[in-house]
Amino acid sequence: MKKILLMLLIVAIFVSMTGCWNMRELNELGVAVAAGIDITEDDLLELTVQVVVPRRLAQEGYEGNAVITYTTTGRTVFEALRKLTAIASRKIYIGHIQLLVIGESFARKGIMDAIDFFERDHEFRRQSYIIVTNGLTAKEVVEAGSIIELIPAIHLTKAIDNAIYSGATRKVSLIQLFKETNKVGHHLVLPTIHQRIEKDPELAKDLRVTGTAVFKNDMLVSYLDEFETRGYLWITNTLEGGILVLPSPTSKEELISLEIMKSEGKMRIKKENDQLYLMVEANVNCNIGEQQTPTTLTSMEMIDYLINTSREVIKAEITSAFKKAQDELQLDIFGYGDLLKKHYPELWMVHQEDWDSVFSSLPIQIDVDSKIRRSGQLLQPTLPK
Amino acid sequence: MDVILRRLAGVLQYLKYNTPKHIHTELSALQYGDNIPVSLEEAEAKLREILHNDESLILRPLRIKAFNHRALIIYINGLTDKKSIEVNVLRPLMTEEPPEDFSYCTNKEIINSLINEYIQSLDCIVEASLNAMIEKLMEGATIILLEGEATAIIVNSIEWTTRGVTEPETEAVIRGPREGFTEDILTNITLLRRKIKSPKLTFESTSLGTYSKTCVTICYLDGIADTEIIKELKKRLAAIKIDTILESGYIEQFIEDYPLSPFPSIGNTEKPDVVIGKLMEGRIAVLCDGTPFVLLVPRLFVENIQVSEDYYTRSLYATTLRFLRVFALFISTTLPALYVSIQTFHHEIVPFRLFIALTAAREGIPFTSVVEALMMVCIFELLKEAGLRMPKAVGQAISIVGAIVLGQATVEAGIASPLMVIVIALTAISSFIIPALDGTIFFLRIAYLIAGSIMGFYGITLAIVVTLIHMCNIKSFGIHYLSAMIPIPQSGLKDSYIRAPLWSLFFDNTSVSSSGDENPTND
Repeated sequence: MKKILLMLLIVAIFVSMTGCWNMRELNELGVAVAAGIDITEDDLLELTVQVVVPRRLAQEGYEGNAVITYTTTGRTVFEALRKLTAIASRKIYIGHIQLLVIGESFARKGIMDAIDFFERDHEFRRQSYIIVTNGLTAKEVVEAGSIIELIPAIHLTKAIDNAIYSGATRKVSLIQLFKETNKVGHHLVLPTIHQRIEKDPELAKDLRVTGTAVFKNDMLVSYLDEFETRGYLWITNTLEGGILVLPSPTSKEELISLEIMKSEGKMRIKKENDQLYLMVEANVNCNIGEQQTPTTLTSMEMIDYLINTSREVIKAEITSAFKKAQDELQLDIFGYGDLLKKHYPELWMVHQEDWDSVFSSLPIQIDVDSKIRRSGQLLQPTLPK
Repeated sequence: MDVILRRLAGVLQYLKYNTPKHIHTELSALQYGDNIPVSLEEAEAKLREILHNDESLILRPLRIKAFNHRALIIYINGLTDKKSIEVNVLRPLMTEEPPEDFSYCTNKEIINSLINEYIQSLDCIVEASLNAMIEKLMEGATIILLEGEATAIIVNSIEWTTRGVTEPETEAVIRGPREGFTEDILTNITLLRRKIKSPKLTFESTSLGTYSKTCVTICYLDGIADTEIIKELKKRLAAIKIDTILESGYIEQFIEDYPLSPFPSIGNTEKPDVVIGKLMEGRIAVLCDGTPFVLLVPRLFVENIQVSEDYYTRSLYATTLRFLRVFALFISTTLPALYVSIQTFHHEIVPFRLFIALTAAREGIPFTSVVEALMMVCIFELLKEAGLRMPKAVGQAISIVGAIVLGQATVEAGIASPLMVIVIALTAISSFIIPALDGTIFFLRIAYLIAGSIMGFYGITLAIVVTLIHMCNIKSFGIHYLSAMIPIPQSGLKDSYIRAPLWSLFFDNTSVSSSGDENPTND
């Protein structure tokens, strides 16, 4: 008797205490896959959302994109999002947003106005990619269609996934953004998307994911081009791959491509005689991928030549990134401040306030080690006899 | 409020089910008086009256040549081996010459002489009680009555047609003996005896059912089976009050521990090798005349994932199959519930591509997903039931209607999504892997489905926890239902989730036993 009452009570507590609620059938939801944020001329946030049209997904032989985009404005992101429900017939579900596009205009004003909502909302997907536009609005990116994919957002996320192998940009998910924002002695660097053609882009293939955007605190201040971005990636050890193009030993016109197989970068900060040095070590393994010159590159001298030249190229890339950060921007985009805090906490306490200016004046030491591993299927190139 | 709680508790108390009450009031046993009439004419009249002038009651008057004495042979047509009676009883009685000292014979001496010298039958007794005589007659014995004598000679000549030993349809095997039990208990006992040639194999028979007098035999290996369990089983069998027993399922329902639990606490099988395997583990079998299904107690949960073939194939393969069966058990109970709760609550846990596919599949379905799932689960159960009951000749129509009309057409008509059909099909296939738990699985599936549709994963977890608590609580003949599985014991593990090689199992003395359990029964 007591046992049964106890059981009843336990069950009652289990049921009433917590549980999953807010039951929604899938066909009552509008699944958002991409969102873009711009700022309008009258200083309002403009939210553009790409929503899946499931009917078209299921429709056989449908040519075109199974999405529709909605645009609203509001003073805050949440307000704009709620306004969407009045436009779309379905409740917009943001749990599966794959791509968050930050418009250039909005980025220049400071992204934290929007990021707080995405960080706070329990539904928003933390694995979604974040990208900043360069030379176009977020609305244009979100509205761009795709020929190869039914859902254009997938086209763009795949493009981001693959772009990192060209070594021209980095990949940042929302959770990574939250982490990096909360770190001290370091400034945000986010990937960018460009326009490839002159006229307004209609399709995702008119866009290109390359380069990075540099933020001071939460405001966009400058862009890094591909060359500088590669330098940034070498330093922060986030390079996933890429091609090194070298001049051939015989002529500047003829070129050699090296494929980066494995790269390891290491940032260090060193104190010698009261002087701080910023140090970078990079170890790279390359394969010969292509040559335009008829010379046989597999001899010892030629390998030495390749090693030395590739070191020069990599060094130049790293130097250019440092030059941009120290001379032009005067911002520690690499995170040396974080290293200083870890290794020399007392120095960090001193320099904490004006670290960026201290960083800009510090000497750098670059040490690159390159190795050539393989030459593909050839030992020497085929030549017309 | 207090009153309502009290009522509720009262109902639950009732549901708890204590020891079985006397369901049947004591039937007036078949009493016909104790004395066999002395005169043959009287006896004939009495028998005709008792049997309501049954056509099949044959009374054959004769004169015993040896003693020049009137006699009456009585049997029931169809139950008796007539040839054997003609050759072994009728012929000697009618043709044999009298013995030397014939003239001094009393009736008693004639009967002794008949049994000792004339009747050539193995099984031949003398019976003085009319009730016992009629019972024997109804079983198929042949009765010889002598004029002026109140005792009867009963010759056992039972013979009727039985089904041969065939491969059982319910438990098909690829490797292993193909013989199965029949409806005849003697054949079944023979099948068991042939496998174990040891007097330790003990059979104890009783008859149950006021009218049917069904022969029920318990069988165990003396020295291996736990005496406490045997005692408990006998106690429960003795308490059965029923008029007829048609199948061992009747007995099962009277002696099981938890009649209201969805989990069966008594096993059954049609295969002698399975019974012997279980007897060797210390279990007790209950054979019932008239059915090929033999009951096995105690029944533990782990037996649902054990199959006789596990022991005939190599251990690695058998172990893989064990894991597969546990997985199938999980799938067949929870998959529809998981699917529905993903559809209605947990949109974020599905990988993006799959989620998009889900939304596309759900588009245009007019029902909520729980209604859709319940509908499909019920349709499948209907199909299964129809397939079982239909005559074999029309069985094909069921598969056509089931596969095409219901499977394809529901999807095309937009009533169910194709993914739901896949989920239900997968669930159905998985549930066939554990046929013993078929009803249990269906019950749990519906329960989990409803819990999942109300509270999502939280509800499913809750329902599973409640199920597990229940399973931990129940016992079968004093043995914990989940023993050998929970808590994971080292020796029990050899033959539960995995099937260790046989050489390691045979040195292991673990058997089903209530030792170490303070209160084996009446929990």
